[in-house]
Amino acid sequence: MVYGEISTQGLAQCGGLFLLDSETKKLSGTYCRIADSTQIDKYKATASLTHYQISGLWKDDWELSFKSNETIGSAGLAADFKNIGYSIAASSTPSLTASITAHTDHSGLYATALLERGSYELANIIWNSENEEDDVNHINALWKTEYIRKGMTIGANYKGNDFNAHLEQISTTPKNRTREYFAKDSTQIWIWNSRYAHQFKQSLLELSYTGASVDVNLFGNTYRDNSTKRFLYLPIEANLHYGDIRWETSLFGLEARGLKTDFHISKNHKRFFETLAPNRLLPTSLTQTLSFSFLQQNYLIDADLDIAAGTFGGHFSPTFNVTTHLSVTPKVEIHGYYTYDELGIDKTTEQTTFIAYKGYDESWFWTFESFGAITGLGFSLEKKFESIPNSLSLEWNAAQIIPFKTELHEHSKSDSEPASSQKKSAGSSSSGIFKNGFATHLGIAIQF
Amino acid sequence: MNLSKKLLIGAFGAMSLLAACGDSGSSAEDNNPASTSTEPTANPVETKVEVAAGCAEITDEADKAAMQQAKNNITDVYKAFGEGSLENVQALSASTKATIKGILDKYPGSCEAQLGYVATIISDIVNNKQINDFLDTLYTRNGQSKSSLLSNDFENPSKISLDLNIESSEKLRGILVSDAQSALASAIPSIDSAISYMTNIANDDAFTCSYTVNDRTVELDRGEFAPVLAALYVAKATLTSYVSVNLNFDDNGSYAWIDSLETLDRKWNYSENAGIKHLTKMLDQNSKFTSVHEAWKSEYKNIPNMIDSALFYVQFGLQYGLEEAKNGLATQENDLYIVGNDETADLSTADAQKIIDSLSYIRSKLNTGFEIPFADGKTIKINPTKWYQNTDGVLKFLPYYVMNDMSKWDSPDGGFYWSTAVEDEAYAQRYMQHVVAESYANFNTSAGSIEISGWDDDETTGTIFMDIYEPERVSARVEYAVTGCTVNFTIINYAEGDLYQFYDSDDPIVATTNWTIAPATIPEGMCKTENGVTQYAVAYRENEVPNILYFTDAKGNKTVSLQELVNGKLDADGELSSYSYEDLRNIIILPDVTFGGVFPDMTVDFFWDEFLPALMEDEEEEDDWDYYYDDDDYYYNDPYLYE
Repeated sequence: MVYGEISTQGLAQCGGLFLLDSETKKLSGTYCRIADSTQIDKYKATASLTHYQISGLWKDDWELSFKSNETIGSAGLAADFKNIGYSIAASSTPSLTASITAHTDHSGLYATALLERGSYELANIIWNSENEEDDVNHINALWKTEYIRKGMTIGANYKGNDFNAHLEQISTTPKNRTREYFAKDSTQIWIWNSRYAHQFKQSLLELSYTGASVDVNLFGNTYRDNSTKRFLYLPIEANLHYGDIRWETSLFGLEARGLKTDFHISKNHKRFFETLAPNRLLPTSLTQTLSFSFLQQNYLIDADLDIAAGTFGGHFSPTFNVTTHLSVTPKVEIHGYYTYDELGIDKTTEQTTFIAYKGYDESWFWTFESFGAITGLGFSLEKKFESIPNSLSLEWNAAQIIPFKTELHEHSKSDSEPASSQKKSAGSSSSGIFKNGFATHLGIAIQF
Repeated sequence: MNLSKKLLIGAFGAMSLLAACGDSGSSAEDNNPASTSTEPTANPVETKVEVAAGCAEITDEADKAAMQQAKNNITDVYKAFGEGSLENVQALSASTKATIKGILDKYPGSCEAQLGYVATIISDIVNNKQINDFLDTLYTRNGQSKSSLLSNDFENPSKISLDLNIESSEKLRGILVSDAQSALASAIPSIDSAISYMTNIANDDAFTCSYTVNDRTVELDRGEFAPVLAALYVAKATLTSYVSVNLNFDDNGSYAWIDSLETLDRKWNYSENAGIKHLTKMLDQNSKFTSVHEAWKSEYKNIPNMIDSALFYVQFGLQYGLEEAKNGLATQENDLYIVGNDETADLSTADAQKIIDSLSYIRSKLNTGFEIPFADGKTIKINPTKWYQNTDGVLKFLPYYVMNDMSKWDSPDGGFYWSTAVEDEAYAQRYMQHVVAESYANFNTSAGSIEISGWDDDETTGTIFMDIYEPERVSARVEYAVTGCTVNFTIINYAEGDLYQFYDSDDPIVATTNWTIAPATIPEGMCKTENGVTQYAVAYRENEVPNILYFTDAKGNKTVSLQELVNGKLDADGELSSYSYEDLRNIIILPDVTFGGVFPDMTVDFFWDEFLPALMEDEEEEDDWDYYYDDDDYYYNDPYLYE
């Protein structure tokens, strides 16, 4: 940061994660971002354009897919004075973010408060039945939400020790939409993280921890003729703990990471809080009306997902100065990983025929255990110029998950059938250009 | 299974499930007359229970407790129904009956006791002696146990279906449609009693009844009672339509005639075939088939009123829901469905009103008719009530026709020409094939279905191919030689058993067989000799249709024979063409194109110019084989056709 001069920096980067690509299950995401910032004296202007696409697919007797595909433009202004800084940014989603930072003269101590408000189109969820003759065989629902994000950061920087802690709360407000099918949610998310780093003469030690707690009430609704009816309710509770310890020199680094997360969906016996109530999903008709008296069917679902994962490894990245102004840094990375995950689902099917009631329970339990390696290759190239532009840097990284052992066990049990267990090889089937579990990233930065 | 089917089953299920609150005297059953051997179907029984209007309270604490216990038992009956365990339902419902009947006798005005009683009356259907006896006969005949015949699946716990596996008509011998109808008819008085009580219950807007089902309190009120009453009317209408119509297709208690249709592949003895004879009798203009049994005529004519009542009570229930919605959740929190405009409701007030309105529209049209689309932009009015006013059956709407005496069936009548050659479509070809098949059937009485075909080799000789697949493979090739009207047969190839020897050998195979085919004489009518020249009748299009009947005008004057109709006609230039709709309207005369007023606006012109062509259009498109030959691209691009 150079005061009193104009300094401009441009950055372009793209990346992709291709996690699953099989006949029945797909999950992948890609993104590209172009950002530009200009600093004049105490003022800084930023602008960026981001495009991302996330898509997923799950096929069973039906097909559930979701797609989130957005191009977001944003622009912001920041000002930094002697002991105080302000920033304000707006994006096309739309959203508006404001922050204020107070700091001591040389930023030895600082505190930031942040407030953001906006709305967001989370995803388009499409469900298709295998049987086209079903009364409802296609649902195309839009999930849009309005949110408020509040955050606070405090930090200290003293003699090579850097510490900061951050706390953030995001809450969403349900909003009715005028579309035949729509999803809405009422969500509370708490995120807290802290970081401590110590700069030794030749190396850096960094410890960080992130925790999150998510409480979502997701509703699936129909909207017809000014009337909203609820057919789906998913109360999701999730917790996440992530820790990272890293020791790094300019030549190599060692890193250990740990992740523990759990998701929980609980069944609610209260009326209108059934997990799925297909009668209310039916198009309005005499059939639907009579179905309430003569054939009402509801599904209640309890689900638990526990994920534990850890990695340990390091990277080696020597820098070669090809000329005085050009340097190349290749990077080789290898981490071992281990993960053990459990997913349990209990489904109750309730059927009421006038006053005849029938309940039927089914449960499934899956365990997934895998260990292996994550290898990465990359290089970065940096060139400095004597004239404008000042510097240009190019960076590319790719990573691939190589499982040594992967085991998926499935146990299912229903009222009429005894529990069964079967072991499946969850092997990674390759498809297309990319193998499953592949990630890549390409970035260009230019500074004027 | 689509939802509407499920609902129908559900409606019946609910009807039978209502079965649960009990009676001991089973007055409905007592009213059933024993089925007599002289009457094909039990007569309808007027069953109307006098019910004092309004609902009285049960006052005695002990009786209240007994009623509560009975209600709990009722939910067990429902549960047993849900599990499809009929034996349990029978036992449980019998034990609950006594309690509720006792309470009802003490408190005849108690709607709660009436509701329980209704439930038991209907559950009595599973204890109905006639139905059980009929089912027992079916079980025994099929060598299956009761539980396997009554299948129950999880998707439809209220669905109890018969799972019969009829392999031959022999298993049905002596089991008559009229027996099944009598058994079903014996259930109708029970439904009538149930309707009487439910009408009282549904008309009392203050009466509600609460049950606890799986820790959830379910409150039943008019919003539920009225649709159940509607379901009872639908059930009565359905049962009445099942039992009213004469659908007897047995031949003096036997169904052997169905089996004899299999021998039609011998291509000749149609007039002697028991199946054809029986069908002819069933379709005869004096036949009672499809007519309504005399005793059931007034009940059958009343079906539209039952449907109207059903529609009315659905409206009545919805209207009650709309009234309740004015007070929010206050009185409908535990209802099976909640009417309201926010997310915590099942049905919006606007939708409920919309359905009430559309039901009003349907009710108003039941007697005047609905416009139903039958082709692009074309509609026809259908009056369903008129359908039920006709009790004479559907045969009277068939075009005027006369069945030929069976002796004439083998004499061609129109649609053919005389030729000196025995051409492919000569009636003599079919006759000769028949002689070969019949000869072999007499020689080997165990032979199953016989496939027979043939062609002409020249004017008077040709080949006949015979293939039998069951119980043993037999293949034969026979040559015929016609002299005048006499035909001689020579067996060229004959093989049994090993399929390969039929095809791998270049030499004629004649297995050791004593089968010989005696010379035969081609019947008169298809072969004639005049002035020493023999001629054979050759059909324009096909020789397979016997001369069964001809069509007439209203006065009985012959217009066209069936054989003429099938074979088309020659125009002035001698070109063969099919009869057009324009031709048909003058030769096929319908006695009543409105079909008894079911299509009140139908005219002869509309029928022949618009209605029939539109109905036949789709089929003609499917059958248009010319497509494959006319479309060059298709022909050349298809490797199989090209080969």
